[in-house]
Amino acid sequence: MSTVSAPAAQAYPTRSVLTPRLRRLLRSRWVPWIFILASLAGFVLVILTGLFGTMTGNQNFAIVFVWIVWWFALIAILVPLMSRSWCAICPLPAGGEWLQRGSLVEHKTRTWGLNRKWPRRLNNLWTVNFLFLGIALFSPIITTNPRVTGFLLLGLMIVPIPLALIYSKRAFCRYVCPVGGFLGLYSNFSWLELRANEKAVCQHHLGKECIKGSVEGYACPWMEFPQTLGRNAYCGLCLECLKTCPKENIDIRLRPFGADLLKDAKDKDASEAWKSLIMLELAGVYLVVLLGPYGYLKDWATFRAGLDHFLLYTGLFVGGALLFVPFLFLLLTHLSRVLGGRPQASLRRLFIDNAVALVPLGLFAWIAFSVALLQVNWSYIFATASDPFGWGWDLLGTKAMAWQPILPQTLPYIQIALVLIGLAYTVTALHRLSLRHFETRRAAAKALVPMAAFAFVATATFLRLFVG
Amino acid sequence: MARGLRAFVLATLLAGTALLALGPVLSAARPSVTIEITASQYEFSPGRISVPRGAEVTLVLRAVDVSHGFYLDGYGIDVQLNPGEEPTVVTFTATTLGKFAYRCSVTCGPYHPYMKGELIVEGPLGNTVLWGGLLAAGLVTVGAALRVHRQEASR
Amino acid sequence: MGRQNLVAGALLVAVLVGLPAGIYVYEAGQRHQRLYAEEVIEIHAYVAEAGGWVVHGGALRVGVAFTLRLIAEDVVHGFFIERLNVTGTLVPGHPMEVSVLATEPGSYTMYCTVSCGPGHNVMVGRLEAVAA
Repeated sequence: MSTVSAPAAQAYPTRSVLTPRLRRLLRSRWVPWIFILASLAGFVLVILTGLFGTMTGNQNFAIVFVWIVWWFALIAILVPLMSRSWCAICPLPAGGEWLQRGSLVEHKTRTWGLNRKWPRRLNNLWTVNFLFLGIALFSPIITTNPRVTGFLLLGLMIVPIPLALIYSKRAFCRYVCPVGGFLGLYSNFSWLELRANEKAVCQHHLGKECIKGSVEGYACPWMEFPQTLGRNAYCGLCLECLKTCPKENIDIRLRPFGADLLKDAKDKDASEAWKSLIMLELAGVYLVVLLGPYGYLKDWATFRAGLDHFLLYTGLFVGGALLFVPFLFLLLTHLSRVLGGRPQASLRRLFIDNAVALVPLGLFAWIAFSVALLQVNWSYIFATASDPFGWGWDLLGTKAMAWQPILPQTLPYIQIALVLIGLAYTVTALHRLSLRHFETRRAAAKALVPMAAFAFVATATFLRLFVG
Repeated sequence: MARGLRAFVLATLLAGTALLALGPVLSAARPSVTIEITASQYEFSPGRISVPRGAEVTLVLRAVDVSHGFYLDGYGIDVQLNPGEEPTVVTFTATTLGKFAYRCSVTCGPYHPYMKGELIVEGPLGNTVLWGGLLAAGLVTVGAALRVHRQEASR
Repeated sequence: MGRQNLVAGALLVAVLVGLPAGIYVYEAGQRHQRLYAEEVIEIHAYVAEAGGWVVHGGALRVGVAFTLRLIAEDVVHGFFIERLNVTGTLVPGHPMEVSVLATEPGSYTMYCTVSCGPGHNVMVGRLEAVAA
């Protein structure tokens, strides 16, 4: 890890969102449990419609509510505004966690299962990265085939169970879940954070119920230490620490967007850097293959052009994500380091820090992609809410709602505006980073050039795809 | 961070829009363009077409394998194309610069949602919206960097 | 097991069992109305390579008014049934119902009338009618 110390000005303005009433509500064992139950109900419906409903994707609840509604809500609303809050209500780990705890909503002292520690070599996002790429590779098929979506979600609900009975706490969520990878990384951008308020209070408090548990709740299932929790990346907002802390020292606060991007952390490692670059590349790939006009690429990606072309597609896809883009970024980081006069920070440190600074650009590119899906296909939401299985029901009377994109000619402008916002935050973060790592303002400015150029070229690529 | 940044992004977007407004001053007579577009699973062919701003555009549309639809963003055009029938002809005037997608509007198979083509309406300087966007991106990049640089100086 | 867990358990069961059960019951009710209250036959249309015309619900009965419920499952199909003289276009996701009355027993041939791919010409099915 870098020996450069973080400047004192890492403190930023914050404002608590917890009124005494809200705090009391969040301390209830039923929160977020009741919301987990609600999302579990949604999942049950998704799996049933996916497995038994019509194969026509746009008439099937599973396809529309997972890949249009949930995806858009997650990336455009939940992550920027509520950090990793999806994880607080996600039903995937629920079965495993309830078995592991031997309890649904109450706190019990005894845990079941082997309670093993997660293997240290896997204490990173590499498993997540590979799983995510594996799934993303098949996304044209997954996002249009209800059976595949149904089986995928069923699988994701089953896998956490043995993991929870072998390993302790939320190992699945932190180290395996393909959604969690980008969810955690992008939550660093959010304007919401959960932190310990007064460090002095923690320092003088020996009980440490937040990591040991108490009658009020469990030890942090995300294996974080609330006293020193500095980033949103691995805090799933499960609120156990809010319940267990006898000093009421846990707070949920608003802060400037992007506040966590520059923070040093032990778990801010190469796997996070790769995750950031993978997500950026993927936004571009999806814009070209899925939302572009190139039929042959879609044929490659969907096996319609044969196995050999699918393998070619795989090679380009995975090679780009794991090798080409990171290699290019590494070269530029090296150039940056040379231009800035070889600082104390290692190439590795700079690579990781700069890659994480790309988060806003990636996030807003993904929001731009998701807005396109919603603005064009929103009517399917009402049709499938009224007839989830495509069996001819009409619960809401909206089954036959016509497909009618809303002002689709405005879409390129919305997308451009979004990506420019992301670009602004990313360049800001990149320069703050270079100012921290390099000796003089001048050196920092020179070092910024290759990194800002990368950000600009990535943005230009998105612009070409949106409006060119 | 927010206020100055927002003003900046807004300014650059306005600059881009001003570029767009140059269009009517520079365009002259009304050209006529006819393009044949074929719909098949899962693409339109050609998938990208370019017309000059102000052109009278005639599209001759047909489907060759299964039934498809043709929906053009922003023009209220939405027709069904059945294979084996006479081609459908639609006409419109390309009044606005920019990119307009044409989409399949009749479920034509599993990958129907991704069946899309692109109409680019260009001004005399080419795809003005794209140039405006690139200019805005350049200004945002430099502007954001300068802002941080100045903030650091005032420490 | 404490009281809270009991309540939670009840809610969980309501979701995990109640939801599928509720769906099953509702659909059975819909189907009952469709398949037994009135005489209804469901016909699913797939491209020829994926099965062509698939008939659920048995056969027509001569002299009895039946409802045919036709559903396109993949692409747009058209249907024409000889001698019953019903025809229409089927768009995926939009089931279509037509009323028919068979006047003699035997086999009624169903054709696809909207080009639905390479197998379109061989997409032919049969609807049976039996004496009442």
